[in-house]
Amino acid sequence: MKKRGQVTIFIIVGIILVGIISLFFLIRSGVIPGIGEKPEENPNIFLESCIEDKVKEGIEKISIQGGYIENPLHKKFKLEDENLPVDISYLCYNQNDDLFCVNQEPMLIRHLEDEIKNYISDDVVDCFDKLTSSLINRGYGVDVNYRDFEVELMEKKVVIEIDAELILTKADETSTQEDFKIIIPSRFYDLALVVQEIINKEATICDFNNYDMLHYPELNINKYRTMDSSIIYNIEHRESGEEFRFAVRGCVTGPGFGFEFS
Amino acid sequence: MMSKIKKNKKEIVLLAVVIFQIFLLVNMIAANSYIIHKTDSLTETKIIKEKNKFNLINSGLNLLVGLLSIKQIGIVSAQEDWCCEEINNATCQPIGSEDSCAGQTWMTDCESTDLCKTGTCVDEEEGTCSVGTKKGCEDNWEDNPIDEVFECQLGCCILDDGAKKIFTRNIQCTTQGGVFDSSTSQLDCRVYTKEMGACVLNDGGCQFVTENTCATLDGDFYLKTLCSHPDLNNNCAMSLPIVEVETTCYNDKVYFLDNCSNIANVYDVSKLDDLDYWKKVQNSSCGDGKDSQTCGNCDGLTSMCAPSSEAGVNPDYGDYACEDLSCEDDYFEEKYERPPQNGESWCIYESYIGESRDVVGSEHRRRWCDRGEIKVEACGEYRMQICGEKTTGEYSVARCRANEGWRCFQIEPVAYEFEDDGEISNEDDIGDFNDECDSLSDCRVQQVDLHDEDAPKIYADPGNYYWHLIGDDQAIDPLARSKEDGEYSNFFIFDVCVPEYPAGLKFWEAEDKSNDLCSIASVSCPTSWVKGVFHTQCRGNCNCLDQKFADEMNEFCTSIGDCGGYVNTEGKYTKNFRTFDIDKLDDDDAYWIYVLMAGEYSKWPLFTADGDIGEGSGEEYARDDQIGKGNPPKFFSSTEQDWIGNALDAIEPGLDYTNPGLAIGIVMGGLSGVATIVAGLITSAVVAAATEGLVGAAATTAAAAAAVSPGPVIGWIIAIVLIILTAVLALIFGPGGVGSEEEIDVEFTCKPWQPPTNPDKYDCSICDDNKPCTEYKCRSLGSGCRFISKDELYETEESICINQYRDDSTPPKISLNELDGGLYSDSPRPGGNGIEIRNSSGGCIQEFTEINFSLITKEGSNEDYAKCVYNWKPVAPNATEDYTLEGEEFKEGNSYSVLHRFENRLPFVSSLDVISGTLGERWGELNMYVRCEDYAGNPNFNEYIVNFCIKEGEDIEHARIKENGFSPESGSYLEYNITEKILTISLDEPAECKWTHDTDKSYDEMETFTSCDDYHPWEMKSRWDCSTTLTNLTKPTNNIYIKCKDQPWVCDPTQTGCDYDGPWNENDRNVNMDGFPYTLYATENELQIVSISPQGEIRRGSVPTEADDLRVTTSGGMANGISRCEYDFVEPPLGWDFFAQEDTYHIYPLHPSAGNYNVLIVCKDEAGNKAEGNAIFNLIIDDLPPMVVRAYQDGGSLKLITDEEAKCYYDLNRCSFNLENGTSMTTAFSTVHTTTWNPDITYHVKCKDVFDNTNSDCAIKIIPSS
Repeated sequence: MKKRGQVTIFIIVGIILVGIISLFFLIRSGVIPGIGEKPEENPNIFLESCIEDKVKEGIEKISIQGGYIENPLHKKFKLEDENLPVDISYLCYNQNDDLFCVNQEPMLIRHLEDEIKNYISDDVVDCFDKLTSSLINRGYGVDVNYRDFEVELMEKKVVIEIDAELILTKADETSTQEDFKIIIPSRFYDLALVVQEIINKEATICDFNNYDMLHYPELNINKYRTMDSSIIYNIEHRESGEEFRFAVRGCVTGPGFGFEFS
Repeated sequence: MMSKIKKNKKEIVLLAVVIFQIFLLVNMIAANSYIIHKTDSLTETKIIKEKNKFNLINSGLNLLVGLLSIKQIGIVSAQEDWCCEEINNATCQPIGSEDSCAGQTWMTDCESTDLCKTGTCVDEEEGTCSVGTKKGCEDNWEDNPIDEVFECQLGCCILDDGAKKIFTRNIQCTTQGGVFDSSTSQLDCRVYTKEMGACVLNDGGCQFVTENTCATLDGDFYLKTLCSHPDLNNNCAMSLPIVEVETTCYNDKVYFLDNCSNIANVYDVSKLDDLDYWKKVQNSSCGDGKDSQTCGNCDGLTSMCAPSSEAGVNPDYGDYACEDLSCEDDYFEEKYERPPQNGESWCIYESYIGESRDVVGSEHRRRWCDRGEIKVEACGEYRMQICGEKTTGEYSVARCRANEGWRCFQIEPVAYEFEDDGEISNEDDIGDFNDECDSLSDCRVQQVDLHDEDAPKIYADPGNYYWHLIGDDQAIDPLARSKEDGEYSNFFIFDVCVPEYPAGLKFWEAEDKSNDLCSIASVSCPTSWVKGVFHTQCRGNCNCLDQKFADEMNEFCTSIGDCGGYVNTEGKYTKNFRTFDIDKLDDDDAYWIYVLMAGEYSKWPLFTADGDIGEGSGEEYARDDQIGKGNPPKFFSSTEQDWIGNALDAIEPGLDYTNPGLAIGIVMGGLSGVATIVAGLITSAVVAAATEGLVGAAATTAAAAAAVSPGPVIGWIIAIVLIILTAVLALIFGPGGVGSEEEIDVEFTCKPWQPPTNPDKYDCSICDDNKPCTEYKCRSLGSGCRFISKDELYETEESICINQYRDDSTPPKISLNELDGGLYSDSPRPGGNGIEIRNSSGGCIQEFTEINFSLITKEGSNEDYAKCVYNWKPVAPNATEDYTLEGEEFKEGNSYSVLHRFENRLPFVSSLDVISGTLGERWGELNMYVRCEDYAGNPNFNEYIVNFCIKEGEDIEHARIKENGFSPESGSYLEYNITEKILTISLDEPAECKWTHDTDKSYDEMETFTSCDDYHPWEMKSRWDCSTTLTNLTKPTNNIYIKCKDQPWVCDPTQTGCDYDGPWNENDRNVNMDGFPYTLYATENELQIVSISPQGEIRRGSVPTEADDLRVTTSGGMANGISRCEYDFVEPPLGWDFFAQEDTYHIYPLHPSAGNYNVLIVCKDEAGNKAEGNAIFNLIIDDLPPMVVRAYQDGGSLKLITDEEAKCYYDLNRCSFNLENGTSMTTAFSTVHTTTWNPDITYHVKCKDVFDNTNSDCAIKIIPSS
């Protein structure tokens, strides 16, 4: 009787152990990322290293040009230490005198996300191709289903979420990875929020002065007035050095109080 | 005798006839004149008009009548009447007509449309609010101002249960999961460190944290006690030896660190040896730490904690000090006798301010101190924005605001009216006018006083007057001369409201606008003249001829804007007004008036249309000692003041005032310009003179008389006497004679100010000294000054003001400026307009040589800013209408410049069109055709030619790697375990390259670079790249040697695929014998994360702590663990952030809520080594007080069991007692609590757990039973 009971206990314990171990591996693969895996076997890391520079390049270009890669509504301007002027977009504009500027991009954050997306779209596809080639070279069978990607600006970072599925096969083992997420540290979003506030002030009271700037001690904000009374704002994050530059034209009063005579 | 008598009778009769004819002639002139006079309709009309004016004068002078008779000036705003959906790539723009609109057009202003009305965009997804139109916002638009939208309110967002606060909009706070508090100001929205204390850990360590944090660490907490307190018996203490004490920044101050890197007290060297200072938390007593080497008590506004290198202070201990954020500014310090503090701002002016005395070209600027840096903001050009300043003495604030001087013109001028006795009759009107004008902050009253103050007042008795009676009227003429005392008086005074800070004008543009504005102060003053016997006298408005008239009117003229006779910022005066502009007077006439006036007014200076004004040109207002003097603008305009009220006393930094929108679009009509003065004071009639006819008639009569009596002398004498007498009588009594009156208009024309024209008397470059130079200021310096924006210039920091003649119609002259010295020579090109460049001995230059030279463009002897291009073939010579500046750009690109630099290699001879000589010794000529266009738009149609002679030559130099030509740089690190690396090198000539690890290998034995830039003979470039993958990088130090062989196109012509047709000798290709060295270091140890915390289960109380630190320690990599780390919340996805340190030890304060966390840590070093790890922990928040789960008597004791470790206390009377006042049942946290059993008392028990969760009421109330 006792032996039977022992055997029963052993069987039960054995089943429990197997179950626990199975559960462990099941959970582990989805939650805890591996440490020290080779980059080429970690698609996310590969994609990040592939796309990161391009994203940073795009951010730098967009932020210096007033939030656009290309915009016909711009003002040529150069800072003191620059050789050639840059086309800086008007984010708030009124072609007439004596009137408030009109916010040209009220949904600024979404617009910036779209600009970055357009800038890197070819590169994302290209990176996926490179990843595929690399994996194939390493003996993997690769099945890629790339759909789309989204860019999201967040506090202190830019997130690229790629909607794709990657099925790897090697030695009869198959693994599937999907929905890749690349995170690139950047102050772009934080700067854009301040840009919006500056535009709000310009569009309502025609001014963003140094008292407003005092509220952002982490930023170095400069204003430049051009010949045609446009204003160029340059916002620099002191610690990271990232900049955002844009132009405003509003509340311009012509000489002679702007009088017209009849 | 009878015949003699008959003859005498005939003579007598003839004589009588002559005399009678003379008599008739004389009277006929007078009679005809009288008839003409009586029948002249104009005269009568004038009389009637004057009669009307007379009546008006009787009731009081009313200038406005006269004013309205002059042109009406309608003032129209810039407001357009239509709205356009999109025009010129801009959305929702007001326009004047529908012609050019790309989208929808509305016949109303944009604010009245649905699509273009300004409202608020609320993006709930992104958590942002912005002012915008529906067109830009689409479905996210609200028809309300942003400050009225609830989601867009600004306030303090409390995150992480109070551990972090940011001032933001409500919607963003919601998006981030925070709690929004709209009542907290931005200044107060800060994280104030809660009181902390030493948390002694079980392992003997100690951390300076809050009590709640300490509970999570399972340590013993000691409030306001430092970890370095010796009584705590832990591993931490004050740093010893003292010289090694460290400091850090915390809450903007400098703090000591103990030897466990815990924060102690504020850095104070005097307390270094004070043991008590290392025991308990104390307030700082070392005063102001600004710039101090011994005190770290920064105040957070004027000084802030910073590394000593940034603070500019070398502290006695540690690496941090209080950085002084104040600035240096001579002007401010002279004015306020102290340096400006961080955030302060002040106004900078360029001349005397206000009182309508701002000089032409002057502008207002605002400076402010921004964390030690002086920044300047130019208020709008043309003084359309002015700078107002306000100070309490301790703090100064300034702002640029709109110049509201245009409001002055809304108030109609008022003329002084006088009673007959000379007293002012409309004092109330004048008072009201003054009050109204003075109430406007940017306006002032300008009195134009032209009356003759020396003239006494008239008498009111009409019977005493006889002069200037109109017809039979006996009307009173204030100018009339009193019969008795012969005196008269003039009354001519009016007040006009003018800008305190007159407008600047684009005076250099020939537009009517400037003229119209200035013409407000143009007047026409009719003067009356009466001819006397010996001289003509002025009888009416004679003061219009006075110096005072010109002075007064010019002062009025200059108060309108940049008009009239005034000065620029350099004190240079120009007149810009005319005083005599009448049909009847020219320069000679002016002199005539002078003569006429000689008797009474000879003291007046003569001045003609181009004469000089008298004293008071205004140059004193431009003097340096007058800068900023006068009446500076108010901080708020009167309009703003009305909106805001008087509650404007706070001027601390962060002042948050509401600046109302300025409704500038106003249509004003019917503004009466003060363009004339009293025109109704003239009562004299204008009578045509016919003196000439009279004299002619007399001459005829004299001739007739001579014909009748040619013989007798007496007859001739009588005739001549009669003629003379007739003429004299006619002159005296006839038309134009004594008593005749004449009206002469004296006009004062106020014209736009113009700059000095004599180029020897102005210097345009002065503008550059006064940064920023603007076009307005530049143009004001001289008529030949031209402004060039820095955007158009090459490599300049600021815009410039150059002396360029107004009528520049000549193209720039191009010439050689500089040529690489010593190597080349130059000579004028035969045929002119060009230059030949040869080698130093005058021969051809070897092909593919890099040559540097610069051309210069000039206008006469002056440098001329121009754009230049070049072509290698002639381009449309003598082109005129079709001329365009096209070609390759010099180094200056598309910018205007004086110098135009060429830095490039000459091509190979084989690429030239015309080649002479034999193979190996060939040569050819190359022309560079240069065209330029100066800033005035004048191109040189005839190209300037730079001629080269290029010879085939021996290339004896091997290729070189350019400076910074390695990518990655030599000395870089490889990633760990990486043995290959892509290398790119940049060469100064085309070549093939190879590399090796082994320095002994010959070129042919080395590894070949996988790719190099192709060479094209037509290309003139100065850089060629080669790339390859370096392999076998297995050593700690990998030394690579690179050799390059130039002239890659040289090959054996007999071989297939070789296009080279020159002399082939492989040995002619140059190779560097010593390889270019290149080094890559290996990362010997993998970058690793040694430890990560927190891990596992963490418990803390409900109050968030600041010490939920994420701590990571790294090792290995290229720099022994020094790396930058980032963390990412994998679960739940909360965000990514940096660690601040680039070190081996990384700390980041996390303040997560309760729950399970998996935080991914990624660390990278500069070599690209990467390490990852995870912090996996479960944060449990215990916010419930302990419960008593069991209470029983055990022997003589009452024992309580709680569900968690706690300290329990009891009170005999009530549950609402403070624990400190209760009787303790536990000495330490425990689940078992004991006290003496006493059946006679009731135990009111309360407990608190380790997280300070305390029962609000009794945990249990025990009434012992017997």
